Amino acid sequence: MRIAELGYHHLLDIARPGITEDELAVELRWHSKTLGAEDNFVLLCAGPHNKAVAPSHGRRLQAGDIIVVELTPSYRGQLVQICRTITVGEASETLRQKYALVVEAMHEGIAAAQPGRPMADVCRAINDVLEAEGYGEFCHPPHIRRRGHGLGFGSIEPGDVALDNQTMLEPDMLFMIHPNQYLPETGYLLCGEPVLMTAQGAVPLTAQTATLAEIKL
Amino acid sequence: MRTMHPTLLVGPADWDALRLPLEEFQARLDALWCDASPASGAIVYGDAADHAALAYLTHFTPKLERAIALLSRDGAAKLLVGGGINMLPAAKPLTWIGNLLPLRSVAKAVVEWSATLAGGSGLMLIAGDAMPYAMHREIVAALGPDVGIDDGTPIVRAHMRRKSARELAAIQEASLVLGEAVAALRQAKDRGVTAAVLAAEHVAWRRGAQDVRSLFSLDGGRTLMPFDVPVGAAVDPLQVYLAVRHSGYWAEGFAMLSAKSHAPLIAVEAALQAALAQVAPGVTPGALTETLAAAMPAFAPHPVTAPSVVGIGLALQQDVPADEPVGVGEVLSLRAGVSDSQQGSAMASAMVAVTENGRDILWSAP
Repeated sequence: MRIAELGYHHLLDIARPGITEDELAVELRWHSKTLGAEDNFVLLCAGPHNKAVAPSHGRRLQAGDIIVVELTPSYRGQLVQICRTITVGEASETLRQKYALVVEAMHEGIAAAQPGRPMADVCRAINDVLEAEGYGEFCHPPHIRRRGHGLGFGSIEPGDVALDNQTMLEPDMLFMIHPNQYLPETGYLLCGEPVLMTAQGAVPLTAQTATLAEIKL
Repeated sequence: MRTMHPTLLVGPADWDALRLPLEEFQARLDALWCDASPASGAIVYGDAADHAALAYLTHFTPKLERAIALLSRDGAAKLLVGGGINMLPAAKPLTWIGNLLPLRSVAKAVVEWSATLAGGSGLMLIAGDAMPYAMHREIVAALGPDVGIDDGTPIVRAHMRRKSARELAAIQEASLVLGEAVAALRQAKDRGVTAAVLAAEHVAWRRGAQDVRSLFSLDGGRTLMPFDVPVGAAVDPLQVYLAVRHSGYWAEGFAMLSAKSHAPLIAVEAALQAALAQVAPGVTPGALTETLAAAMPAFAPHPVTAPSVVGIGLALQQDVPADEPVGVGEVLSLRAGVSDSQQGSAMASAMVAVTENGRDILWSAP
C-alpha cells in the first residue's frame, strides 16, 4: 500500500507539460521497483476528455489535461491498487464538482460493504448516487462494467463489484472499490481504494483516500 | 530467453514513420504474399507476451489486451484490438493500420472479412501457436471445413531472420543501450544486487527502452532469479542477464562481473571469442554451438544458456535451425555458459550481426 501511495506522490512530482504518458508510466514502474515492488500495473493516460483509462502511449502532456491512473504494484506477489485523477494546471469548477460526486459515490459504496450483504449492494450504492444526478445511462456498458474487483494474488476473488455478483461479504475479504466513471462533462474520472472487510464493514487501506489533485503550473 | 514479463507493457511503442516508414512494412507484406501464394488473406495473432510476428507486419505491440490483424492480399488491413471501443484511440498511434476495431466476436469478424477476399483461395494463420486454443477453435469452426487455413508462421519467421538496414539500426541502438545498462550495473555493483540491477534498468529506461528484463544470481551464477524482494548485499561474482527492447527490437546479454579471477568466467569468455571469430555467412548454428562446447571441455554446460545460438530481433528468442547456414542480415545471440559443482559457474554472451565481410559485433560481455 505504501508503494502505491508513494508512487502517486512521485507522479505528482514529475508530471508536467511536455512529458509523455509513456515516460510517466515507465518512471512510475521503475520507481515502485526501487521501493520493493516486483511489478506495477501502471495504467495511465491523459487528455482533455478521456473516454477511458488505457495503456500509455507517446502523447505529451499539455496544460489542461486530466491524468487518470491506476497504480497497481505487486509486492511479494500481492497486488494492491489505487485509482487517481490529476489535472495539469487548475481544475475547472465543473470538474471539481463532478469529481466530488464520483468520490461521494465511492464512499457510499464503501459504506454499503458490510458483512452479510452481497457484493452487488456495493455496486448498487455507487450507481444510486450517480443515477440520482441523471447519469444512469453512464452506469452501464460500454461506459462501465464493474465498480471494483478482487485483490491479492491476482484480481479475482471475491469477484467483481458488479450487480450480478451475489457473493456474501465476509471479514478478511480484500477488494477494490472504484467507481471509475465516465461523465459527459468531464470525461473518464478515476477514484478507487483497496478495502479490507472487517466485522464492522469495509476499511480503506490507503492513508489518504482519493481527492482531485491539481498540478500547479 | 523467457523471463518474468510484465502483464502490462508500459514503454514507448508508437509507430515512428521516420524510423520505420510504410514502405518497410509494404516490403514485408510483398514478401509474405510472394512466398504464401495462393493465400488471399492472413490472420495474425499477438498478445502482450508473444507479438513478434504481429509487430513485424503491423508495428503493433499489444500492451495489455490481445490483438488480431486481418491482412488481405489486395492491401486492405484491419486491426482488431482487445479492450473495447474506448481503447482504440490509445491503440491507434501504435500501428500504420488505420482501420482499428474492437476485438469482439472474433469468429464473426473473421468470417465477414474472409467473405470479402478475392479468389477464395485460402487463408494463413500467423503466430497461431500463441493464440488461445478456444479462440483458435472458434475461428476454425466459424470458417467451416471448406476454408483452408495454412500455417504461415514459418514463412514470416524465416523473413524475420534477415534484418533490413532499418532493423539493423534499431538493433544497434538496442545493443548500445544494453551496453550502457551493463556499464551502469558494473559501476553500481558494490552498492548491492538490487541497487545495481535497478541502476542498469534506469539507464535503459532513460534511454527510451521499450522494455527491460533482468535476472541475477545470488549463488555465483549457478541459478538466475527475477526481481523479487530487495537484496541489499553485494555479491562477487555478480552474474546477470539483461534484455533491453528499443524501437521494437531486443538486445540481450549475459554478463558476469567480478573483481577476482574466476576460472569458469575465463573459460566462457574464451569460448565466446572463438565462436565470434567463426561467425560469417554460411556457418551453421550447429557449428558455432560445437565451437562453444569444444572451447570449454573441462566444464559442464550451463542449462540456462541453452540453446547456445539463437536469433534475436522483434522476438527475444527465435530458434534457428542447427544445420541451416546463417546469412547476411541475421542477428544472433551467442551464449556461453558453464556450471560445475566444484569449479563454479559463469555465463557470458554476445550479440552479432552477420555481414558480407563476416560479422559486426553489436555487444559482447565485458
